[in-house]
Amino acid sequence: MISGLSPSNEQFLASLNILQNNLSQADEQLSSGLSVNQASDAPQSIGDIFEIRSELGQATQTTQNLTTIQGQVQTASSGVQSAIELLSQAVSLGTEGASTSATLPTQQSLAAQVQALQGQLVAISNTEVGGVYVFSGDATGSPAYQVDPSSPTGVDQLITPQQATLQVEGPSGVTFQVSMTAQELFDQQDSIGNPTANNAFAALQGLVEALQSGSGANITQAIGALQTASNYVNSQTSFYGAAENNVSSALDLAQKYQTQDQTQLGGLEDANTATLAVEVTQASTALDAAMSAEAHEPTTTLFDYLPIT
Amino acid sequence: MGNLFAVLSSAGQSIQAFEQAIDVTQNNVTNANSPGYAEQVPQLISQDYDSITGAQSGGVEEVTKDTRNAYADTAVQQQLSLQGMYQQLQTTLTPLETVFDVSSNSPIPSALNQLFQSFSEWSTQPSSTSYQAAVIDAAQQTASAFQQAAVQLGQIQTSVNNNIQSTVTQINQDAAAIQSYNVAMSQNSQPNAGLSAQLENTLENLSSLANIQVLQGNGGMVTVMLGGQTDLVEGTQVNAIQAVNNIASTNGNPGAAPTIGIEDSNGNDITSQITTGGLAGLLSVSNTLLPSLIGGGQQVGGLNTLAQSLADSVNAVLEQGSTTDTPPYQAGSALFTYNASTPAGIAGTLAVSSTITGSQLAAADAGPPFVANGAALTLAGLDSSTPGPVEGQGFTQYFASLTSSVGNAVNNANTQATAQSQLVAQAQSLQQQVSGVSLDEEAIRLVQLQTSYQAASKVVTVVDDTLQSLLAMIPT
Repeated sequence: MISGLSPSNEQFLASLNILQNNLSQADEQLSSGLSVNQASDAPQSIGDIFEIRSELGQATQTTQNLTTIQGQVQTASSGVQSAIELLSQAVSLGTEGASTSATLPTQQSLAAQVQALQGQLVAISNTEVGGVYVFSGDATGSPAYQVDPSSPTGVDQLITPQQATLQVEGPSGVTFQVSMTAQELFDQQDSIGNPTANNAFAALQGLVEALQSGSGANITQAIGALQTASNYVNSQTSFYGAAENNVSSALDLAQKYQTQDQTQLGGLEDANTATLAVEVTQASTALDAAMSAEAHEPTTTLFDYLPIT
Repeated sequence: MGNLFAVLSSAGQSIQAFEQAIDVTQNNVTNANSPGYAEQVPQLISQDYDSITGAQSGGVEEVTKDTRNAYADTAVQQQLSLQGMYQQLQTTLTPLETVFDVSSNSPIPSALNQLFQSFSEWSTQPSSTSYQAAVIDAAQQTASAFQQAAVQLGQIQTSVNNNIQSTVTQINQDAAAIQSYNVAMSQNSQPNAGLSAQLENTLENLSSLANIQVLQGNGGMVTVMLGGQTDLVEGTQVNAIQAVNNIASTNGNPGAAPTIGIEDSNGNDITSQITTGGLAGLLSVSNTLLPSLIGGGQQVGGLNTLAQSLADSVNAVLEQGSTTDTPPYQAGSALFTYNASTPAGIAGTLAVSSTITGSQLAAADAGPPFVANGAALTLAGLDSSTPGPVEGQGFTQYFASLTSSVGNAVNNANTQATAQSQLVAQAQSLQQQVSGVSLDEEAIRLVQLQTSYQAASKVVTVVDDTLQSLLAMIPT
C-alpha cells in the first residue's frame, strides 16, 4: 500500500502492528482458554489434536457401551444364579415327593409347585434389561421361550435357532463374548433336536410328570436328571464370572484411556494462563512504551526556528 | 562604466538564479510527504569571467539536480512486490481457516466422530431401531458437513477468481497511467519533478500487484516489463494483459474448475512469469492450493478424496455384511451415494441413500465364523484401522493433514507478511535517505539563499549608487 507517511513512521506502524497482533492473540487465548484457536496457531499440532479427540470420542463411546453391557451381564449372571436356586428348590420338592410318606394328592400338589418353578425358569430365560433380552443371543429384541405344558419339555422356543455370536469390543480393540442363549443354558439339545441330559426344562417337565404319576421310581429318576441339569447350569456360572471380569477390566481400561486422552488433549490445546498473563502484560507495556516514545519524538524542524518577518 | 553595467547584469542574473533556487526549495518543502517525490537540489554554478567585456563576471546560474536513485527505487519496488504477494495470501487464505476449523465443533471431524460412535453404539444392539436411526442420522450429518465445506470452498474459489480479474484490471489501469506519464514526459523539454513523483508512485502501486522490471528511457520515459519478459508499457504504447479460464486444464478431470491463466496482448500464456505481487498470490491460491483441497483439472482434491474414501469404505463393509442372522444371508445396502462422474465434485454430492432404512443396514459379518455384529464392529473401528483407508491414513487423520496444510499456508503468509512490512519500511528508509526531502536541510538552504539574495541585492544597490554618483559628477 502506498501512503504519504514517512518511512520511519511506516516502520513504527509495522512494529506496532506486530505488538498488537501479539496482544490480540494472547487475549484470544485467554478468553477462549485454548492455545489453538485457528489452524495457523499451531499447524504441527493439528494432527495430534484431531487424533486424540477422535480417540477420546471412541473411549467415551466404549465406556458407555461397556457400562450398558456390564448391567446386562450382571443381570444375566444373577439370572443364572436364580435358575440354580430354582432347580435346587425343584430337587427339594422332588425329594419330598419321593418320600414314602407322600400321598398322591401331596405329590400332585408338589407337581403344581414344580410347574410354577418351570414358569419362573421360562421367565428367567426371558430376562430383559433396557429392551435387551439377555438370554436371547443375537436376537436381543425377542423373548426366547414361552410355557407350553403340552410340549415334551414344557416350553416352546420362540427363536430358532438360538445363537449368541455378538462380540463386545474393548478399548484396545480386543473382542470377547458376554452372552449365552437360554437354549445353551436350560434347553440343551442334541444334533437332531432331542433334549440332552443337561436340559433343565426337560428335567423339570420330567419331574412334573413323575410327581403327577405318583411313581416313586420315576420321581427318583427325575430327581437324578434334574440334579444333572442343575450341575450343568451351575458349571456355566464360570462363563458369566469371566464375562463380568472381562467387562470390568475393559471398562477400567476405557476409563483410563479417557483420562489419558483428556490429559494429552489439555496439554496440546489448553492455554497456559500464567504464561499468557505475563505475555499480555509485556505486550501492553511494550505497546505503551512505543506509543509514549513516539509521542516524545521531536516533530520540529529548523523551519520552526526561523524568524517570521 | 561598461564594467559597472556588467556587474549590474551579473547581480541581476544571480538574483534570478536565487529566485529559481528558492522556488525549487519551496517545492521540496511542499512535497516533503508526497508519495514518490524525490528531492530536487538547486545547484548554483559560477559563470565564466569574460575578460574582454567583463559580462557575467561573478554571476551564478541555477541548475536543478534530481536525487532520484534507480537502485533505491528498484529495491522498494521489489520489496513491495513481495509484500503484495504475502499480504494477498494472508487476506485470501484466512477464510479457509473457517472451513478447516480446529475447534471441537469443527463440522467434518465432529460429524466423523459422531458417525463412528453411532456405529459403535449400534454394534451393541444391531436390531435396535433407535441405534439404526442414529447411524443414518449421523451419516446425514457427515454428508451435510462435506457438502457445506464444498460450498464454502467453491465460494472462496469464486471470490479469488473475481479478485484475479479485478487485479488484472488494476494492472492495466496502472499501465495506462504510466503510458500517459510517458506521453507527458516526451512533450516536456525540462524534467518535471511532479510527473516523476506520480510515475514512481504508480510504479510502486504496480509493484505491489505484480513483479515488474522498470527500464529508464530518454527524457524520463520508462519501459515496464512484467516478469522481466513481457512488455507491459513500452514508451507510449500499452500492451494490456488479461485473465482467462484455462479450459484445457480440466481435460484430466471433467467438471473441475478451470485454472486461471494470464495472457499478454498477443494471447501468449505468461502465467509462469508472475512470481510475486498480489496477482501471484491469487494465482497460487486459485491454481495450486484450492485445487489441492476441492479439486481441479489435474487433481481430485483432498476433500473429495476423503469423501469418496469414506463412502466407499463404509458402503463396502455394509454391502459385504448381512442384514439377517441366519442363512440365506441378505447383503446390506449402501449408506452413502455420490456422483462418481465428477470426481472433483464428490464432497459436494456426498449424500445418504434416499431409500435406505434401518433394517437395510447390515450389522452382521456372514463369516465364517458368523458374527452378528461383525460388520458394525468393523465400521466402528474403520477410522483407526491400520493401514488407514485414505492413502494409508484414517479419515480424521487425513482431514487433520488437510487442515494442517491450510494452517501452515496461513501461518507462513502471516509470518512473511509481517517480516515483509519491515523490509519494505527498511527499503523505503534507504530510499528516503538517498532521495527524500529533509526539512532541516531545506531550512538551511533557504537561509543561505535568502542571504545570497540579499547580498546580490546589495550589489545592485551599490552599483546603482555608484552610477548615480558618477552621473552626478558629469558637468551639465
